[in-house]
Amino acid sequence: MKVFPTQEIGSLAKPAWLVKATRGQGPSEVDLAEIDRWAERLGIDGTSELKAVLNTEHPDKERVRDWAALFAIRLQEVAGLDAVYDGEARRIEMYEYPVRRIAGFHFYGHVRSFDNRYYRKAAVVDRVRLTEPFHLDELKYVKSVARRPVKIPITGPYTLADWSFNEYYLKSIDGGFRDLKARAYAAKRAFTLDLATEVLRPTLHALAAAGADWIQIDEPAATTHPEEVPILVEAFNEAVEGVRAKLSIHICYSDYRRLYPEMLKMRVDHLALEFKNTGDFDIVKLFKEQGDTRELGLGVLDVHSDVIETPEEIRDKILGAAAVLGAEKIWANPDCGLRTRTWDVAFAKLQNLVEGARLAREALQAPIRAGGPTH
Amino acid sequence: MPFAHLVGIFPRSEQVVELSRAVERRRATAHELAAAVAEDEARVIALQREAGLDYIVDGQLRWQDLLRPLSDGIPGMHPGGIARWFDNNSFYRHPVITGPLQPTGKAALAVINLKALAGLRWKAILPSPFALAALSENASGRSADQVLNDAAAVLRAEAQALTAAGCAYIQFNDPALVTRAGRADLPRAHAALAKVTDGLTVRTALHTFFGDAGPILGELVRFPVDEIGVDLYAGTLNGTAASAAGKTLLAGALDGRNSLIEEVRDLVDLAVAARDRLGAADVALVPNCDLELLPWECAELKVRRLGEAAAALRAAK
Repeated sequence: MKVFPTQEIGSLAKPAWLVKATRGQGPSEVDLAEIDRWAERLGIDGTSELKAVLNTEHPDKERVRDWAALFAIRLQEVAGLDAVYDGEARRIEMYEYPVRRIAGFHFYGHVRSFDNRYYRKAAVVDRVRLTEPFHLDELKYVKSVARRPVKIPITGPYTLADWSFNEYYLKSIDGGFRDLKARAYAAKRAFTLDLATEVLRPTLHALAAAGADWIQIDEPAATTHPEEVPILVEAFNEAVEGVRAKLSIHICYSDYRRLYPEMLKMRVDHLALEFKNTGDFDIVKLFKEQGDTRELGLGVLDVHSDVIETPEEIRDKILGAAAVLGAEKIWANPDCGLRTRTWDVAFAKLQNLVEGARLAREALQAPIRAGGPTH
Repeated sequence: MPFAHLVGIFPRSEQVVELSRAVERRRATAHELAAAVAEDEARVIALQREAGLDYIVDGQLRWQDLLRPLSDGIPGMHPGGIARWFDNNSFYRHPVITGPLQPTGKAALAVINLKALAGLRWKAILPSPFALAALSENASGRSADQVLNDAAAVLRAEAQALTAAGCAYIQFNDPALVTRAGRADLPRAHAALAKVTDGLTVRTALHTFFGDAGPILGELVRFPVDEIGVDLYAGTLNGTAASAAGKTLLAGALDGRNSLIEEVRDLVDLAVAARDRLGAADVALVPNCDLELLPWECAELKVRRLGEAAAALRAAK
């Protein structure tokens, strides 16, 4: 395989016509024009069927989601990415979607994220149990239409536990009420391990059986509580036990120093991380110092900015990381999913990502053509 | 003698959540939202009174975060980008300090519902000067000590204005002191708080949370306030030899970060054990942190449970 392959990390913004259809609303003229514009740009035919579906009184939501997934896949393919998925077109978001498919949770009301932004946070009120493996239908669809290798993202057990209230497992821990911190740790571990073994593991096995060659487990909460990194690692290893697929973990907006040395015990092939947001690319030395020889997905696109990174800037970041870790270890990617950017911005960023990787390959080849590298 | 009260921002009701979204989508007006917030403030006040809490707050429902009234209202600073609120899946806008801070004494009062609190024994909650400085980005070119002094001057003006407005108790919140500060910061934090509380005629408290206060409790009990608050979910206090003699201990025994409703017996046991371990003059039951990390319905149940536990504590005296 070529060096410096490129990948997306997860979600893309949902097109307005998808959002409206899921709410039972019809598309506007602007929405229909957007379909035409992107279909032409991405080489998608047959959108008259999509428009017909959208214009019915009760649109077939699954069919609309198929179309949204197709647009997202083609966007990534046309941009030139080496591993693609559907932009998580079918998922509400990364927490509520899986939790709604796990027995044992109860949703209370909203909790504030910041300002006037809120999210629904569930409490675990009974032992967790998988009601049905999730993401299988979307994987099947993606594999049926994708022209590039597929990587499926799924939320990891530690993040699902960390973003939930823990009632059942806290009540289950016999340890008195005096050392509340120790009791909470034990309850968190029990909760996370149950999610790993009872929910994630069967789902990952089902995905692998359905043809998932590469599964990315998302753990954005990984370093929120540094003392719980052992739980993160133990749960990850339990979840992936016996899974026959390439495995990566995505972590973002975190202090990666807090993961080590425990992280070395994680049975994972690839770390996909955010670097652009912090601007601290020197941190790649950490992996060298820790003897971590796994693939590194280098986040070189800021997903919270409309500024389009230049190919040259991306090239330099890739080459900088390759000089530390070796070219064969480096992938290039956005810091996180691009869902907060418009498709125009996301597409431009991904195109430059691909071009930056190409320039990096070119730069790597140049000394060889000139007679080999010099030191 | 106080037995229980709240220590931070209360969650917003489902009605206010829906209305705030509707305002953004231009399906409701800011006036309708303000009216709903005022209704919620009245409900939060009624809830505390029903539960028999000793000091009443309006729920700080107009505060977008602990620091926002200051970063919005104090010349020399403004709200910046989103930053994680300690180890929570919640965020705040970190203040950006761009020049000397100019005290006004108006920032907190602009977001407190004085009308709803009239005639009640009410408390105000502010960040400590150390927390304000530590949680801000200093883009002013001034030294860290200058910024801390400025923060103290700002908060002193706020505290004096609150006192003049009839506030009976001012609590200074400081999660930074037990999570991000080094031991060398403690004298600076102490001195800055002294500049705020010196000469204040109301009861004062310093409440710490999200981190273990145990290792620095010896220093904390000497801070110039009447009461010291600790988060019992962040540490056990077992390792401390500190004495809190002469202070009232705010025992953060009600977990503001989990929806599980505590048992009355456990709350009382925790408070009494903490008081006895530290030799505190008195103890009050409080949540360990703001209840805004919970949905409204859970926070409401927790306040009722706090009231029941306070009654049990009162009966046990």
